[in-house]
Amino acid sequence: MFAVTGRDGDWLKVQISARPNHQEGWIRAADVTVTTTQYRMELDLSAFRLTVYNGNDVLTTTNVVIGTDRTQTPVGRYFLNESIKHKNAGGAYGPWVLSTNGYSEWLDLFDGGLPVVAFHGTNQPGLIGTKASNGCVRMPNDVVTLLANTLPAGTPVDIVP
Amino acid sequence: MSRRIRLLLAAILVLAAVATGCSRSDDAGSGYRLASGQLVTDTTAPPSTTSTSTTTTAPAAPDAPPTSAQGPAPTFDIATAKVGRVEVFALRPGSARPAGADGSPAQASLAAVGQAYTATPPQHEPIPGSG
Repeated sequence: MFAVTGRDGDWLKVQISARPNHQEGWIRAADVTVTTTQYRMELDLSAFRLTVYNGNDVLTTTNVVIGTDRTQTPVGRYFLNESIKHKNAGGAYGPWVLSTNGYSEWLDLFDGGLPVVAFHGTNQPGLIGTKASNGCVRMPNDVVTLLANTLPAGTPVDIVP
Repeated sequence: MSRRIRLLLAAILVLAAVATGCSRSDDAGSGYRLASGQLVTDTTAPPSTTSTSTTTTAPAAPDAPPTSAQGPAPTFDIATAKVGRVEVFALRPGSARPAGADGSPAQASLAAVGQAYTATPPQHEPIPGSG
């Protein structure tokens, strides 16, 4: 799964999932199927506000938890690469985890693996509107469920300061 | 080693775009762990599974507040692999052409580069109990 950012003949320029963030590469167009989406996500860190657009319309908007000052949510353009239904819907991640191709720029590892920046639910809704995470974005469980059931993998995610 | 040098060393990168293996933790942290080993160097392996492309058919929420339209709605292209592995070539510095497009062999693998990346000392103090 790649987000396409350009074309050159038989080649596509794409965002890839690799550290450090924001790497791009080229793939052969013949190797992939290209689809189009009008959905996009925009996270305003200063406002703790996530807005999801469908074309020019707002699909939904919600306040969120973002990374602490020492584990900041990285800014830039990313894309969703997977939606994972969580077994423990009442747990810290809520019912769904929407992972991105972005990685923490503050943590080298997380829980023994690469620290992926993800959008997910929460079992601590009282923290919404604060800096409390390790870089992930927590939102109300009903909202992450809506997004998981709506947004395709590849949906662009803009995180702005 | 600077990012530029690493990129130069990886003039031609090969990434196996296999599905990433994510795993989760029920710890209170909000990071998300990606299982290691998602980068594969074997570009000679035959195609495996065929991926299905994703379409956008879900309707907007009924109470979604509309915004004022400002021209055509932006669209974004998504590339889904037809086969299990897709070679990804790094940009050749100073060139808009894909590295390897002239037939030059792909030698360096992104997996090796990725190991170099993860072996880079953290630039920030580790956060105790971050897991």
